[in-house]
Order: sequence, then structure tokens, then C-alpha cells
Amino acid sequence: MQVEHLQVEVRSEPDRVVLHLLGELDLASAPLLQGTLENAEADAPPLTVLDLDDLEFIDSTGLRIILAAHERAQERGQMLALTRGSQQVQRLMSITRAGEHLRIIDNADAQLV
Amino acid sequence: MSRAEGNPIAGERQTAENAEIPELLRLERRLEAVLAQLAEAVTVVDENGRTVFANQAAADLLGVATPGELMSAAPGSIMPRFQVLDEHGRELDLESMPGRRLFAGENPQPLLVRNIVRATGEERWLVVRSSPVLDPDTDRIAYAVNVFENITEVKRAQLNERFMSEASRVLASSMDYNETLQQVARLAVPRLADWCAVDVLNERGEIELVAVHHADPDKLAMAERLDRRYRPALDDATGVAEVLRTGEARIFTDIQTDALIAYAHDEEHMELLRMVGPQAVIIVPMIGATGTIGTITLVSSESPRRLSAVDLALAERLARRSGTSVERARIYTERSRIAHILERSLLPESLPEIPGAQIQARYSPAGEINEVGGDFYDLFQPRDGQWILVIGDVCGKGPRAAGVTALARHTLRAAALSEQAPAEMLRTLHRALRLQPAGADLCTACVVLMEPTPECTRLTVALAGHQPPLRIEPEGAVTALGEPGTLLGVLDPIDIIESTGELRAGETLLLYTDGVTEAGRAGRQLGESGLRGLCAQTAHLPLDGVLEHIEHAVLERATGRLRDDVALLAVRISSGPGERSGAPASSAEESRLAF
Repeated sequence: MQVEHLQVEVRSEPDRVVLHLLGELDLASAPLLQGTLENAEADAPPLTVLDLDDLEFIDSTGLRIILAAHERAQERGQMLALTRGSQQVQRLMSITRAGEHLRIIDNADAQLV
Repeated sequence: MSRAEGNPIAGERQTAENAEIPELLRLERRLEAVLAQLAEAVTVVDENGRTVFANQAAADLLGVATPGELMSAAPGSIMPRFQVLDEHGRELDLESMPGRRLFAGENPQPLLVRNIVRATGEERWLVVRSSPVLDPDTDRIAYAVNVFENITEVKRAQLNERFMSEASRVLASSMDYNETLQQVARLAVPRLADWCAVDVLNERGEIELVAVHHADPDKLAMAERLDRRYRPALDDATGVAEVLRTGEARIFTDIQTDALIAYAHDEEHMELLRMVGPQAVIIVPMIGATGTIGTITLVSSESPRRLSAVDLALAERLARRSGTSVERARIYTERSRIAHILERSLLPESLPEIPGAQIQARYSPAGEINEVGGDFYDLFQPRDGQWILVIGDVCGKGPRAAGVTALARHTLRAAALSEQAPAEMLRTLHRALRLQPAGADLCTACVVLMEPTPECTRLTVALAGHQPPLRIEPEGAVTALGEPGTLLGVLDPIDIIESTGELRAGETLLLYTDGVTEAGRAGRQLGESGLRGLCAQTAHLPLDGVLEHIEHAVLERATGRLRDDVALLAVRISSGPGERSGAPASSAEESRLAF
């Protein structure tokens, strides 16, 4: 899929798969993340990390995809975690209070206790 | 095969070296026999332009009965029978032919020419190659041997593909089918014909000319006059009407005056037809899934090239492709109309009046016109002395989002009517969204209950994942009201907090959606601080002025294309008893507010 304002880099580690998001996540670019997530989930990694530190913008469409992925992970006994992200990402997480329901980690390689 | 004197193959030395004559004659006959078998036309021309040898293929190509006729023709007398053009349609003269250029001392490349037989209008594509025959005594060029390769079919197929791919590009470029068909007409001229007209069957069942093109604007005006005065009717026996009825293409070649007289309604009609001057006409049906929806008419008139059966196939392809596009565009237009109706059902028909307050709302939907859903707002009076303001955003676009948006708006109304407070209203909406089948529908909303009292207007604010509303004081102080609450529809449990505030005379409460703060690329967005700043700067303006400034700032950042819907709902408490609610306040009155 060709989306010019979002890039998703996938990195597989022994204990996790990391999706590094660069750019802007909105209605137009959401399908790219959706597709990448589905691919990653096919391998059933115990932990999926969304690295949002280089995500400049996220809107409610993007949030919906993250929340849906979170729900799927819970159903399968897997884990979804995300990094804190830019100010705009953090602002959306606090306005919607979605952050309280998600696992937030300091960096993509942080250990979950 | 004929043999003329001065035949270059025999050469002029036959008289000088008598002993070799029989051998030379044999050679010559063999060579002639070989050339006669060639499919390519071959001519041999001397420096004076005289044809000294030609094979039968050359005679055929150049429109004479025998090679002998070519050889006895005066130099330069054959070429005027043809219109000779280069690949770009520029007329070529005799001097630019490779054979002539050889004699001019050049080393000409093979030349591709479009050759039109003036007498018949037949079009051919030829590659002309010329090579020199040197005089062994002087080493000067004695003759040019011209070989004409007829590549009409290959060239035409190539041009047709190019034309169709261009047409496809044009047809896919717009959803406005009127505009698109005008482009098709422009594309067909002069490539296919001198004239191109497109007629469609409109909703009233009439034939409507939607596009006509000719390279000459004066002629174009005449065609429009012709259409105004003598628009074809569906019950006409021939022409566009017949093709519309039957769905069968028609071609009329070699049109004579008699045929025009028979077709003309009266003398003026005849005069206009004569000015158009059709020599050949092709009418092809544009066919969609529902049948014939229109026709494309091609006319060759003043140019020597005539439309023929080989053009019919291309015209039919063009019409088929256009038919599909027109149909798609029509469906799109219809869907846009439905979307528009749907969208209105998501928003209040009109805003009610609140005594002692002014109300303004703005809504700019983002994206394609047939995408509905997204933002919504509402303002209603659940009971005396109470007003409910709602603004919200349903994630996504399209019919599903539109359905959820309608659900949200009506659920909140019903909840308010059953005397629920704002936080409870939002919880009710959350439960309703969770009951929705198939997947998460994410919704954010802000509900404000307004209760005017003699001293001030009391506010109760509840937020669910939504931006807090802003209170703007006339002097420019801006405060966000409410506590963050969980967005609705996807997470459990949710936490919604109710908080209270008040609005005093001259103060404004602004509810907005994230489309306002997030329009445009990251880094260019207005953001919450930008919006607050803008509110502070414009606080002294009339209420519609404030919203206009915000809207302008948003559209400017979105650079013409919004990422998300933009909704704004604002209430301003009037500053004195003189101001009536609902009535548009004059700027003089509004100015008083600010100072």
C-alpha cells in the first residue's frame, strides 16, 4: 500500500515484534497500519510493541486501530504495548483516557515486568 | 511490368558495349521480375523528378493503373493527388521527401508519412526509404530508389491504443460527466474526425447535446445554433435518435447533397447542414448497464480524410468506454445527493432560540461529497429552563459511520428527555454503542447542560474522550471547561466526570471537534493553543466573526483539503436586556459587548 505520510517499520526480536511508526496516522494512512498489524499478528508474537516516538500525529481513526489491536491481543492472551509518543499522541491518550487502558512503556525495548 | 527507355537497371551503356547486351538484358528482366514480386512499392526517380522505373505495387499505391503511367507522368504531378503529412499533422512538400533530399546532398533517414488520398479520403501510413544509385563514371547520384512500406495497420493500431489510453485517462479524471464528455469531444478532434458531438438521453427522456467540438470556434458556434434550432427528437427516423433507439452504430460515407436535403427539416436547416458540410458521419451508441444512454457523433467535413469502416471500430470502443464512465458518474451524483440528504439528518434542521443568548454553528464536512458521517452537533431544550448542547465525533466515514452518528445524536436526545444529567447521557450512549453488532464504533462527545438564572447561566459539562469546550470572556481570557472522560464505544469501564461552571453576560462558550485543531499536516496544525489564541484575539468580534476567523484559519491550514470534518457550536450570553436572542445582532450592538 502506498501512503506517503506514514511509514511503518517492522522489527522482529526474540521476545517481541516492534512496529515503528513514522509520520502521521490518520484516516488515509490507517489502513497501512491495520495491514501491517494483521501481518505481524499472524506470527502470534507474545508481545507487539507500537513505537510511537516518531509519530507526529494521530487522530481518532488511528486510535481506534490501536484499541482494536489491544482488544484482539487480550482475547488471544497476547500483549500490546506502546511507547509514550509525541506530545500530540500523549494529548490524545489523556483526552480520551485511552492511555489508562493501554500498556505504555518507556521505549520499544523496555522489559515488561 | 513495363520497361521504359532510360531504365536505370539496364543503364545507358548498353549502346556502348554491344557484346554484353544479351547478358545485361537477361539480368534486367530477372531484376524486374524480382521487383514485381515485392509487396513494397518501389520507384526509381532521376534528378529531374522523373520516374524511370516503378513496380506494380508503386502504381497501386500511387493510384495509377500501370507503372508505365507513373513513368510517363510529368515530374511532381503525382504528389498533389495526396495530402502528405508528417506524424504531427504538418503538411510536407516534395522537397522534404527522402528521394529529393538525396539529390540535395543529404543522407535522409526513413520518413514516416501520413498519406491521404484526396480523391477518396483514404488514409495510409507509409515509411519512405530512399537510397542512391551512383553513376560509376562521375560518382554523382544518378537515381534515387524509393521504397514505400505501407504500415497503415500497425500504425493505426498503435495510434488507436494511444488514443484509447488517453481517453481512458480523461474519462477517469472527473466525476462530472458533462465536463468529461466535453474532454472526450476535444480528444476526438482532429484525431478521429473534424467534428465530434456527444448527446445523452437526459432524465426527461430528451436528447441533450452535452458536448460538441470543432477546431474552429466559428464553426462551433454554428453547431450550437444548429442544435438550438433543430435539436433531434427521439422519434426522428434517422440519426442520433435511431442509434439511441436501436443501440446499433451507423456509418454514412460519401454523403451527397440529396441525402442532406432529405434529412433537412427546412431551408434554414439545409443551409446550416451545408455549412457543416458532412462528407461522412459515424454515430455510435454509448452503452451502459441500463442500455443506450447516449451517442457519440463523428463527422468528417473539410479535411481530405474521410471516416470509413476502419474508424467505426475505434469509435465504438470510445463510446463503450464513455458509456461506462457516464453511468458511473451518474451513480456518483445520485449518491452525493443521498449523502447530502443523510448528512442533513445528522444535524439539526435549524438551531432553536435561547432567550438572552446568541447561537452560531458551523459545519464543514471533509473528503469526498458522498462520504457522510463523522461530526455531529445538536442543541435542544429537554424541558423549560434547560438547554442541552452536544458536539461529537464518530470515527470513520461512510454509511456505517453515518448510522452510528444518527444513533449517537438520537440516543443523547432520548437520554436527555428521560431527565438524565450530562454524564449519565454519555453513559447511556456508551451502552447503546456497545450493543451495536460487528466491531468497535468509537465516538467522542461533549454534552453541556445550560440553565439560565437571573445572575448567570449555569453550566454542567461532561466529556467523553472529547476536547473540552472553551469559555471566552469578552476581554479575551479563555478557559477550558470540564474534566477528561473516557471515549465511548470501545473501552470498559468508562469514567465520565461531571463538572460545573458558569457563563456570564458577554461570555461565549465554544464547542468544537478535533477537525478544528488537527486540520493540516503535522506541524502546521492550529492545535489547542492556537485555537485558544485565536479565540482570545477575536473575542471582541460579533459571534459569527469569531467563528469565521476560526473556520478561515482551519481551511487555510488544511490547504483546501480537510482531513476531518470541522464542527463548531457556540453560544454567547447577551450583555443586556436590549439584545434579543436569535436575532442577528448588528455589529454596532456587538461592538458594545466588547468594551
